[in-house]
Amino acid sequence: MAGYLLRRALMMIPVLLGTTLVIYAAVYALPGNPVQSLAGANNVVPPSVAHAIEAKYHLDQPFFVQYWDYLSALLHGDFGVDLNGNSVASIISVGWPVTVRLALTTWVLEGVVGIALGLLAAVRRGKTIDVAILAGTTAVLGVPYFITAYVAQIVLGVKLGWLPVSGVTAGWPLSYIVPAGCLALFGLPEISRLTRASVLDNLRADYVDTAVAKGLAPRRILVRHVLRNSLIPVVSMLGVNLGYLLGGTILIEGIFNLPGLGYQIYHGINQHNGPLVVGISTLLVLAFLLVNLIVDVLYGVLDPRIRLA
Amino acid sequence: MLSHRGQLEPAASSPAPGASAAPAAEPDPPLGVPQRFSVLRELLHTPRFLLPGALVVLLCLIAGFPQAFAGWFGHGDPTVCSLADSGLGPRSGHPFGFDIQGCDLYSNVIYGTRNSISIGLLTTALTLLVALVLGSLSGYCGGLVDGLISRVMDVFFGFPTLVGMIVILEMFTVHSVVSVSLVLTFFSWPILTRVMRSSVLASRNLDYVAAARELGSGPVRILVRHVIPNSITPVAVLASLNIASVITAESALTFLGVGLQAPSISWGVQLNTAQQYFTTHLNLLLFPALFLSVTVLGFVLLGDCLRDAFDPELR
Amino acid sequence: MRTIPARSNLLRGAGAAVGASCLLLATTSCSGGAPAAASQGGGSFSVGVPTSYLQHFLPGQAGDSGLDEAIWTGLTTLDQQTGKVVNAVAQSLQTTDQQHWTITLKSGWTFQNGEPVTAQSFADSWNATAYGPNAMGFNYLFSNFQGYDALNPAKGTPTTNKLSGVTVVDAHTLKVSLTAPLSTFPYVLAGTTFAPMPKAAFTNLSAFDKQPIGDGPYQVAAPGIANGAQQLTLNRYKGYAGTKGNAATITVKAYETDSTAFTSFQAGAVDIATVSGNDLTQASGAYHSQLVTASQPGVDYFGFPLWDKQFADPRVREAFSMAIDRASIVKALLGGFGDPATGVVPTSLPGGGQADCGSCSYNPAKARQLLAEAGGWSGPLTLYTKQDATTQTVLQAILDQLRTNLGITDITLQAQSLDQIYTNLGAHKLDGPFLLYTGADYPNAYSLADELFSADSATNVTGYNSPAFTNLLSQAASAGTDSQATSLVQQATRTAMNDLPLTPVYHPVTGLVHATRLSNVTIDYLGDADLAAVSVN
Repeated sequence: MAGYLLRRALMMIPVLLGTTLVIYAAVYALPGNPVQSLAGANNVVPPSVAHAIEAKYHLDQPFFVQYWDYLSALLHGDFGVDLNGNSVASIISVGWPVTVRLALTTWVLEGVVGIALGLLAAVRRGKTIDVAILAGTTAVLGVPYFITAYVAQIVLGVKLGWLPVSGVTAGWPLSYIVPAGCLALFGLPEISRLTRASVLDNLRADYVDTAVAKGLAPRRILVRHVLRNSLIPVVSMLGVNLGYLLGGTILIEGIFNLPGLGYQIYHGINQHNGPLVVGISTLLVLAFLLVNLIVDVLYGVLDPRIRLA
Repeated sequence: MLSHRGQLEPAASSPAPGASAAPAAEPDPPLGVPQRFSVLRELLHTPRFLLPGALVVLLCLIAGFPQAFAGWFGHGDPTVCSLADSGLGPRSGHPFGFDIQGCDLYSNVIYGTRNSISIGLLTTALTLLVALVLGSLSGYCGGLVDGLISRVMDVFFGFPTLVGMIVILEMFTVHSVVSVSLVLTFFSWPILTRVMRSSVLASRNLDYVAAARELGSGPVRILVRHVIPNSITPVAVLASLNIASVITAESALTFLGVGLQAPSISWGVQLNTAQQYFTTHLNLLLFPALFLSVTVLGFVLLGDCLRDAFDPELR
Repeated sequence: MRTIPARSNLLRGAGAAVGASCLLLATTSCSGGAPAAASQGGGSFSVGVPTSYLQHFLPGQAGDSGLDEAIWTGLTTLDQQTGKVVNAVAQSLQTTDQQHWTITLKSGWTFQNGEPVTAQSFADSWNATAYGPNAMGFNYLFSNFQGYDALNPAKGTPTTNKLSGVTVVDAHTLKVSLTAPLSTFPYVLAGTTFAPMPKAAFTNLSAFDKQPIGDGPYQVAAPGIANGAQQLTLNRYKGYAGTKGNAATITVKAYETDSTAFTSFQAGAVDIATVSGNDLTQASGAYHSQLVTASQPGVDYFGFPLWDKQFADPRVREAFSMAIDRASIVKALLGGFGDPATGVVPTSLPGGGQADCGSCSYNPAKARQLLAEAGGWSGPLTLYTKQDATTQTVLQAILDQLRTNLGITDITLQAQSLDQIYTNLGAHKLDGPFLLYTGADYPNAYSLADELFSADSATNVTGYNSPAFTNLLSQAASAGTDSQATSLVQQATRTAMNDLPLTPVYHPVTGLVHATRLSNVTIDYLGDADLAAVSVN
C-alpha cells in the first residue's frame, strides 16, 4: 500500500507539470492585449506606461522565462500577484471555502438522494415507483442544468422568496441549497442509475441466495451485504464526480453570484488574467488528483478482491 | 462534464484514473462478431430500442434536411426577420412564435438542430477515431507506448475540463462547428480511449489472437483483423451516450458565450439570447430548451438500450 | 419613456433629508445599538456596483465612477440639475487665453485623515499619475499638460517626475499651463482622475490603492478592497467641507453583471441596483415607482472603417445609414429605453441635441438606390462589436436589416473583447463596420465631439481626419464664452457628420431601481447613483 501511494504521488508530478504548462501556454496565447487590459480597455497607453506595465508584470520576457519564473515561485508556495495587483493566494483563500462548500453540499445531495433513489428503484424493480424514478432521472438528464438554475432562481428566490438566490451572505446552508440542488441534478441521474444496476447485479449473486437459504432477514441481507458490495462502483463514480464538481462550478457560481473559485476563474479568463487562471487551475488539478487517490485507496479498502498491484 | 456518462457497468471498467496498471476485475470476454449482429437483430423488435431509435433518426433527418421540416407551417426561412414581430407568442403559421429579432422561432429551432447535432456527431466520430487508434496501440503494445499514452491521459483527466475548454476556445476568434468540435474532442478522447484500452487488454490474450500470432501474422494485421473488431463493442455502444453529453457540453459552452456565436443558428445561441429576455418572453427559452432536452434524451435512451443489450450479464 | 427624475434643490433637499432622518432615528433607535461608525442619524443602505469599481482607488487608476465621486472631491464638480460645472475645492479658476490657468483654493478642506487639502496635494497627485513609470492607466488624460512628454519619454526613464506646466505658488494657489487652449478645462478638472492626494498616500501607493484617504463625503472603512471580497463599507466623513452625505454608512456590493445585481435587488439583498437591457423593461413594469432613468451622455454608433476602400464612397456609407431602422430597434430590443438618434450628440449633453445626421431617417428604397449608384456591394461583409449582450443583439438586428434592405446576403457578425477590438481598430485590421458606444468624458458636447472626430483621439477609431473639423474645434477650445464655444462645437460636428465617418444609432437610457425606504435617488452624470444625496427614510 505504501509503495502504491508513493508511486501515485510521484505520478502526480508530471501530470501537474503538464497541466500547468498547457494552461499557461493557452492563457499566454489568448488573443488580446494584456497591457491594454491592465491599463483599461478604453485608455490610451503611451509607450512609457506600456513599458512600465510590462516591466511590472514581466510581460516583456519570452514565454519560457515567464513560465519558469512562475513555476519556481509556485514551488515555493508563492502563487504570485495577478494582473490587478491582488495576491492570488488571498483570492484563492477567500474563494476556496465557497467552492468547497458548494461542491461538498452538491456531492452529499447527489450521493444521498441518488443512492436512495437507486436503491428504492432496485428493490421495487418493475413496479410503478421504479418506472417513475427511471423516467424522472432520465428526464432530468436531458434538461441542461443551467436552465434549471435560472428557472429555480426566479421561481424559488424571486417569486416565492423562500431561499436566497444571490451571494453567500445568508451563510451555509441557506445560500447553498438552491445552487447545490441545481448542480446535483447533473450527476444525480447517473448515480441513481448506477446504484440501481449495481444493486440488481448483486441481488442476483450467489451469496444472496446463500444468505436467503440461511434464513437471514431480507433487510439484513440488503443492508449488510448487498449494499456494501453495490456501493463500490458508486463510490468510485462519486469520487470522480467530486473532482469534476470542483472545476465545474463556473456556471452555477456565475448565475448565483457565489464568490468561489469557479467565478474567479471565469472572470480571470475574460480579463486574460494569466496568473490567476493558472494558479486556480493548478490547485484544482491538485485537488482532483488527491481526491482520485483517496478514492482508489477507499476502493481497495471496500473491496478486498482488489489488491492494488 | 464529458465524464462518467461513458462508464460501463462496474465490472468492466477500471475505477479511477491512474489505476491503469491493474484492471479492477477481469472484464468479461468481449462479444464475438456473429453474436453482435444477432443481438442487434433482436433489438430491432423491442419498443425500448425502436422509440429512441426512431427519434434519433428523425432528428438526424431534421439536421440533414432542415428545409424539408422548417416549411411545414409556411414560414420556412429562419433569416426572414422583422422587428415589428419581435417576441410575439405562438399564432397561426408560427407555432413557436417569434424570437427577439422577429424571426420565426420554429424554423430557427429546426435549423438549430443541424449545428447542434453536427457538433455531436463530428466530435464523437473524431473521438472514436482517436480512441480506436490510441486505445488499441496502448492496449496491444503495452510497455513504453502504453506508459506514454496513459500518462498523457492522466494529464487530461486531471484537467478542469470546462476551464480548459473555455481557455482554448477563447484562443479562436471565430467559432465554427469544426473548431468547437475539435476542442470538444480534445477533451473527451481520454474516456473512450481508456475504455478501448481495457477492452483491447482483455481481448489481447484470447486464443485466436494467440493463434494468429503463432501463425506469424504481423502486429498491424492482428490489430486490424482480430483485436479491434472484438474490442470495439464497448466503445461503440458508448458513442450514443457520448453524442448526448457533447450536445449538452456545446450548449453550456455557447451559453457561457465561448461556443458557437450569432449569427450561427444553434440551440445554445438561442438559449444564450433567451437569458436576457425570458422573464418577459418565455417562449424564447421554452422551445429551444425543449428540443435540446428531447434530443439529449433520445440519444441517452438509445445509448442505454444498446449498453444493456450488449452487457453479457443482463442477457 | 424617459423619466426626468424630479429633483429638489440639492442643498435644501439634502439638509431637509438629514434633519428628517435624524428625527426618525432619534425616535426609533434603541440606545447603544447603533454601530460605532454611524454618528448622528442618517441610516445605511447598500448599493450594487460592477466588480471593476472595486479594483483600484488611486485617482490615476480608478477612472471616474459614482463610487469614486463619493470618496473624492476635486477642484470642480458638476451640478446634477443644470449640468454645469461649479467650483468645489477651487475658489476660482481664472484665465485670459484658456491655456494658462490660475486656480485659487478654498480653505477648510481636509483629507479624511485630517491633513489639509492644499495646492501641493493636487500637484503631487497629478505628477504621480502623469509619471510614466508609475504605470497608471489614466496617465493619458494629462497629455495636454505642459511637461507631459518629459515624464513619458518613448524610451528610457524620465529625467524629472514633475510636470513643468504645474506650479505650486503657495498653499492655496496653483498655476496650470496647457499645451493648447481648452475652454472646457474646468469640466475636465471635475473628473476624479484630477483629485488631490495626501502625503500619506506616497508612503505606500499600493496600499493606498486598496484603502484610500480621500477628501470626499465618504471614507472607505478598513480594510478597503480586500482580496476576492465582494463588498466594502463607506462611512460618512464628518469633517467634509461640502454638503455632507445623507446616509451614515453605505455598503458597496460588487456584482459581475447588471443582471445579477438586479436579481439580488429583487430578492431584497441590495437597495440600489443598475438595470440595463431587458431588465429595464421588467423593472418599469414591476418596480415602476422605484425606477429612476436618465439618458446616458453618449452615443451608440455604427462606425465605418475609412481605411477600407469599399467604404470610400460616401454614398455607400449613406446607404448603410439609411437602411437601419432605428425606431424599431429601440422599441423591440430596448423596450423603448433609448432615443433613436437624429444627431450624434444627445440632448442630455449641454450643447447637444441638434439633428446633424442627414441620413439617419429610415429610407430603405433610397438606401438601395444610393448603393446601386455607388456600384453595389460585392463580397462578404462582417460587422463587429464588443462582447456585450445588448450591443450584440442590436447588431444582429442591424445585420438583418442590411440583409433585407440592401440585399447583402453574405453577411456575418463577430464580437470581440474590448481590448481586442480597440487594438484591432487602431491597427486598421478590421474590414467592416462596427457598433460601439462612446460616452462623453465630461458633460459638454465638446468632449464627445473631440473623442469621436479629433484625429488624435484614442476613441476616434474610424480614422477620420478633417482639417476643417480640427480648425473649428480648436476655435471652440479658445472661445471666451460658453455660448461661443457651443456654437462652434455645433458647427464642427455638423462638418464631421456631413462626411459621415460614423452614423449614430441610438442614445441609450440607463436606470436605477431602489428600495422603497430610500429617497432622493438620482442618477449622476456617469450613470451611477449619486451616493451622497441618497437618504434613508
